Amino acid sequence: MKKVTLFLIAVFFLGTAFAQNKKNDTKTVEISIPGYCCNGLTPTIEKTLAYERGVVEWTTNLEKKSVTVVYREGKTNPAKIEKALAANGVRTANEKPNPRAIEKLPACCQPAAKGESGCDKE
Amino acid sequence: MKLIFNILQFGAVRVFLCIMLIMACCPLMAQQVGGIVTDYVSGEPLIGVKVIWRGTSIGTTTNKDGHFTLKESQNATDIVVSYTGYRSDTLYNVNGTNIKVRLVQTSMALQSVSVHARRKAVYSDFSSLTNKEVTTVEGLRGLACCNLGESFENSATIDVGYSDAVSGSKQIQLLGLTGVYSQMLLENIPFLRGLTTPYGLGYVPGQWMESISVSKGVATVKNGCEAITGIINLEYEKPDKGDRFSINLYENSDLKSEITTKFNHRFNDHLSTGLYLFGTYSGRRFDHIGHDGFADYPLQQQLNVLNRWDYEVGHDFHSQTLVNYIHESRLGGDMRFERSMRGNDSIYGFGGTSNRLYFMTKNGFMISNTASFGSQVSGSWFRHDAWYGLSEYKGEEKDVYVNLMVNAEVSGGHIVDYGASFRYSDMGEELMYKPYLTAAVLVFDPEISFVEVVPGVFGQYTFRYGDDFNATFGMRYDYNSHHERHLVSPRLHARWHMGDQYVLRLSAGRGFRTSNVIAENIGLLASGRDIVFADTKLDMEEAWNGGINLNKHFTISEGHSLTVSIDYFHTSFVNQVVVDLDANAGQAIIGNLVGRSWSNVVQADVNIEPFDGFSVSLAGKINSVFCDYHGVRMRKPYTPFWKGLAVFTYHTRFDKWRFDFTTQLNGPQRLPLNKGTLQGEASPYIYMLGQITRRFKQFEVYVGVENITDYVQETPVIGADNPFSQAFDASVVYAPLMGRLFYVGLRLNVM
Repeated sequence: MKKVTLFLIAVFFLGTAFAQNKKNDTKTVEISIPGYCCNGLTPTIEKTLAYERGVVEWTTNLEKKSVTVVYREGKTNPAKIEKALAANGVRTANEKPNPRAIEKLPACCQPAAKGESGCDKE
Repeated sequence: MKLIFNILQFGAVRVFLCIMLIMACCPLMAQQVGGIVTDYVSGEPLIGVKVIWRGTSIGTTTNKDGHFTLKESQNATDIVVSYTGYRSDTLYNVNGTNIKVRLVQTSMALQSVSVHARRKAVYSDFSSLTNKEVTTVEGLRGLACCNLGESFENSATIDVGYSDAVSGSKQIQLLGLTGVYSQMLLENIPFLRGLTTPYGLGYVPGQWMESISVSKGVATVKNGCEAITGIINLEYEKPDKGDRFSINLYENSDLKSEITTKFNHRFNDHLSTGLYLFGTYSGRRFDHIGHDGFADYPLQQQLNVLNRWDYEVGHDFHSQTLVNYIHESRLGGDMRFERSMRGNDSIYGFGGTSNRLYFMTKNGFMISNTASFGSQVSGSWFRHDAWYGLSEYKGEEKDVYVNLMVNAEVSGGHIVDYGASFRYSDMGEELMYKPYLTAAVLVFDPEISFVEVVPGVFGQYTFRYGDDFNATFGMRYDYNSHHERHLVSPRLHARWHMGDQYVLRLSAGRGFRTSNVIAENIGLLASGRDIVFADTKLDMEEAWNGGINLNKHFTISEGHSLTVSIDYFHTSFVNQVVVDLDANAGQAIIGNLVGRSWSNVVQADVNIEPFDGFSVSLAGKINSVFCDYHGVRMRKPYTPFWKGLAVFTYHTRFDKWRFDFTTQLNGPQRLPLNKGTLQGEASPYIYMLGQITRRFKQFEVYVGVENITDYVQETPVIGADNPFSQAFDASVVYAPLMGRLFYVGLRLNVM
C-alpha cells in the first residue's frame, strides 16, 4: 500500500513541476484565427493554451478574430502554438484544423453545411 | 490461443449473420422545422427570440421554454435567429425539429469571457417525455468505473448489489425491483437479457461508454413489452467523433489490472470504423474479509472486443453496425481451489466460463427531405458453463431480434409511430443441482429451457400542443409461442410544462416478460438450499407500472442553477415468478405468485451548482417493496428500505484538477430466513468513495479510494467451515464484499 501511495504522489508532482513558470524571457505574439466569429470557440482556445507548455498568459479578442499570447521563448514558439490550436480544431492563419476536432466544437463553429449555425460562410 | 479457437466455433452464429442482413424501411414526414434557442453561457432557454426564414418576413418567436417551430418554406432554406442584446445567428440548410441554437450576448461577445461549456456529469433531461437521468462521459470520468456494474455508484436511482459471495457478479435494482424488470439497451436495441443477466453488467466496459441514460417507469412501445420499471440505454463511443486513439490503464490494490484501448479511423466524410478492446486480469485472491478461507473476489480474466462501422451520407442515409465478442472466466470459492479441482467434494470452488458474440445493425434511409426508412436487427450467441461446489450449470442462448419502425408527422402536432418486431430466443439451460454432499443430484432441464418466438406489432400516437404539452399513447400486441399467450401492452406517457420551469410527467402501462429463474437467481447455487419447483410451469410475469414526476428548475445566478425533482412510482404484479426463501431456511421454493406483489418508490433529487466548478447533488429514496410468500406478506429481501446519496464534484479551471466524492447511505434490508446468526434486518451502512483526477495536455492520471470507511459484511459466507453441508450459504449478501480499495489509472488520448 505504501508503494502505491508513493507512486501516486510522485506522478502528481512530476506533472505539476512542468507547470512552473517564471515571467522572464517572455515574448508576445498575436495569432490570427479567421474562424473566430462566435464566443463558442473561446473555451477551446483557452483550454488549448492552458495546457500548452511555455504559454504564460493570453487575451482572446473576438472583434479582431485573434488571440494574443505571452509565451516563454525557448519553451515554445508561435508555430508550435498555432499547431496546438489547429490540433484542437481551431483554424489559424498558417495551420489547417484537425477535422476530427472540428466535430467536437460547438454548433456555432461548425461548417455551415451541417445545417447548424455557422459563421465561416458569412 | 484458446480464444481464437472459441471464435471459430460459431457455426450457428454464421447462420444468424445471414438472417440479419434483412433491412426494412419506413417513411418519415417532416413538414416543420423547429428547435430550441438557449443562452450560450447559462444554457437557459431564451424566450421571445425572433426566428425568420432568411430573405423573407415569415417567422416566429420562441415560446417560454425557448422552443420554436416553423412551417417549411418554399423559398428559403436558411433561418436567421435574432434577439435583443444578443448576436444574431444564421443557420444554413436547416431541417428537422431538433435544431439547437446558442446565442451569445453582445455585451460579452466582444470581450474575453469565461464560458461554461462543460457538460454536467449527471443531469435530468428536461425535454424528455420520460423522467430521464443521464450520466455523461464527464460523470463516468469521476468514477474509476471498470464496467457498467460500477457506473451507478453516484446514482440514487439504481442500487447495485452482489448476487453471492463467491462469483463476484453484481446485480442492479431499479424502482426496488431487480434489474430484469427494466430493459438494458445498447443504442436503443435490447442488449443484455435472458441468460446474460448474471454477469452482463461486467460485459460493458466503462471506458467504451459515451453516456448512460436511465428512464424510470414503463417504456414506450417501441422496444418490446419487457420494460416494466424502466430503460437503461447505453451509448458507446462513435467512430466518427471519438479520438483517433485512446488508452486507459487501471490497477487497484488487490492487483486487478485493466486495459482499455480504442482506435477510431475515418476513411472519408462518410465511412468510419472503430476497434475497441478491453481486458481485465485479476490474478490474485485475497481473504481480507471474514477470514473464512474464501476469496473475497474471484480470479477473473476478460477479453472484450468490439468492432463498429458507421456509414453516413449527410442526413440521407445512416448505417451503424457493430460486432462484439466477449470471453470471460472466473475462479473463486476456497483460496486453495484450482480449476482442475472442479467437482471436488472437500474444497469448495466456484468457476465459470462465458463466451458471447453479439451483432447489431441499425439503418436509416432518407429518400427526400421529408421521408426516411429505418430498421434495427440484432443477434447474439451466449454460452455459460459454471459450477458452484458440486452443482453444474450450463446455459446457451441464441437470439435474433428484428424491429422495423415508421415515424410520420401527420400534420403539425400529430405524430404517429408504428412498426413490427420479431424475436426468436432459444434459452437452453441445464442445471445438475447438488447443494450439499448428502443431497441427491436434481437435474433441471425442461423446467428452465425453452424456445420462444415472439412476433409483435405496435402503434403509437403523439399529440403535441405547442411545447407545453405532449402526450403519447401506444399499444402493442405480441404473441408468445412458449406461453401461447396473446399479449396486449398499453402504454401512456404525458409531459406538461406548467409554466415557470415546472415540468410534470406521468406514465402508466403494462408489461410482460418470460423469466429465466435460475439465471436471474444464480446466487442461490452458492448455497446449501434445496431448490423446489412449486409449479410445473412458470407463467409469464406480468405487471402494471405507473408513475408521476415533478421537476422544478431555479436559476440562482447567471450560469448557476438549482434543480429539484420528486417522483413516485408504483409497480403491481399480476403474476411474478417468486423465489420464496422464507418458508424454510434450507429451501428455495420457486413458483408463480399467489397473492400480491408490489413496489412503491419515492425519490427526491436536488442538484445545485453553488459556484464555478463545484456541484453537489443530493438524493433520498424510500423503497417499499412487498410480496406474499406462502401466504405471509413480507418485504422483498435485500432491498434497502431507504437510501441517501450525496455527490460532490469540484474541478479547477480548464479541468486541470478534478475531485469527486460520493457518500451513500444504504438503509436496512430484510434478510431471508437463513442458517446464519444474523436474522431479520441487516443494519444500515455508509459507503464512501472518492477520486482525484489530474489532466495534462494529452493524458490524465487518476487515483481513488473505494469503500473509504472499510465497512464490510462480517460473515460473507455462512457455514464456511463446512461448505458441503446444508448449513452452508454464500448467497446472503447485504453489505460490501470488498474492503477499502485504492486504485490508480492513466488515460491517454490522441485526437
